[in-house]
Amino acid sequence: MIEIIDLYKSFGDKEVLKGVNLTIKDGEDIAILGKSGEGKSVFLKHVIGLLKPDKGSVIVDGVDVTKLSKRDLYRLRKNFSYVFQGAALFDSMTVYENIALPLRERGFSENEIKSRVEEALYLVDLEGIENLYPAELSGGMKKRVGLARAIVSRPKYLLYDEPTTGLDVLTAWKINKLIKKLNKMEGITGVLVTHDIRGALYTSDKIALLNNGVIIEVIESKRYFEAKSPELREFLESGGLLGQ
Amino acid sequence: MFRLLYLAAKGTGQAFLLLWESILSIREIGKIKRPFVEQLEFFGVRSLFLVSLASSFVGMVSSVQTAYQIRDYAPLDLLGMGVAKVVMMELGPVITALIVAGRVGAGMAAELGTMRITEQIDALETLGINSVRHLILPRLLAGIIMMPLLVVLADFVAIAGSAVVSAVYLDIPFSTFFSGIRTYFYPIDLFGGLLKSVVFGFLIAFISSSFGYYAKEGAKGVGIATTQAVMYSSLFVLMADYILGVILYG
Repeated sequence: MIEIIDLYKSFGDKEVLKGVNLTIKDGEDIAILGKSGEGKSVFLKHVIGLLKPDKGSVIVDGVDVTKLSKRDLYRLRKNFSYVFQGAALFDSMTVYENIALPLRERGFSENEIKSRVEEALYLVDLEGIENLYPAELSGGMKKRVGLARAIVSRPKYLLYDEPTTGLDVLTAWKINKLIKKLNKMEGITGVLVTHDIRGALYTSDKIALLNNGVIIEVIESKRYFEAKSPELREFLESGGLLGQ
Repeated sequence: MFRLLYLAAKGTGQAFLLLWESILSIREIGKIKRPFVEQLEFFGVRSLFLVSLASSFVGMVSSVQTAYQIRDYAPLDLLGMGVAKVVMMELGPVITALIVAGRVGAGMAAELGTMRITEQIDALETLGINSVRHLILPRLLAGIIMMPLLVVLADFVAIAGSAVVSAVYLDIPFSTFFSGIRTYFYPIDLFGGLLKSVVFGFLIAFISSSFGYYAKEGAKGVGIATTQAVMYSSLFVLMADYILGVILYG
């Protein structure tokens, strides 16, 4: 379980997070919605300990991430995978090496690595591209390789940082279908940050709205029409999901 | 003014933190085999041609200009000795370091800076991989190991180039040239230069990696990091050269 308690973060004079509170239960898939520049990625980076908050706690399975030493943080991160907005593939490595890297770090045998990489590429529908470099891939393929790298270590928590941004509608939809498929894998808790309202409703059990530095509403995706806050209703209207 | 001082202090603090984390990550040295070999190749093997070419010219011009300076008050038989000493103690390590600072230092800063702004360093961290151990430690070790080897090559090529020019241009036979070197050779000449090269290799790798690792503000930031890496690496090489010169030969 992930519990975010009263999280604050500023960069210089700019206050980005102003007391975020959120609980994500095991096996739950939640999408954090918000406009560009609202601090969605900043929020997600706190969950995995890439950023330290000015105030507040991030409790993962009973452990406060903000108080861990670097060594313990690396240990904890082995339960996580993070899908970056720009895929963040290592451009000096082939697709195979990119996906194999987390397994090498964990000391898997070469045979096990090979079979897991093949399985991950099969899941994202990209078999046969093992020897290509990231520069040889399209934007959508890069994102799918990023997803393959994220799932290859079979994490407990999958964090997605705007995985469909910058993609055409069809490719974005394919990625959303893939995210839904991955989220439904046994034992995975998915946290997606996005401004794509339709993708959020399709992939996640719950949606939460981050607005002006705080989470103002959390509702079940299938009951989206019961949204109370005008900001979330506006989001739903923008996606054509509520009447204007 | 205060802002500049603040930025300088912050940069120095970050650099020393990076060094400390690199030292701590030595306990996981077994996990860096692959990046370490890649860095050995990048730092050393790919510098061979440039270092050899530059050193040959350094050796050749040293012969011509040393002959010009000593011709009126010392026998030209001592030319080999003079050139060899200046190459081993000073020119070999310093010229090699400046070439490497330009080639390798810029490459390291640009690569790490690009990795930083494209979130590849964050990606390593999220995979539970210590980015300092994976990226900085192999570069520091490669710098410390490859620099003395490059300097040995540079010394050899420079002295050979000098011998050829002395024979062709100044009519000094090889036997005379090399007997001068043998007669006045002191091990400290060579080993002092090699000690300098270890320090230079460390400085170039450390300064360049540090600027790249902490690069920000997109492509412009990578450009700034690359320029500063070369500038400060070269500057610190020359400063360290003076300090080590005083300690070793003063």
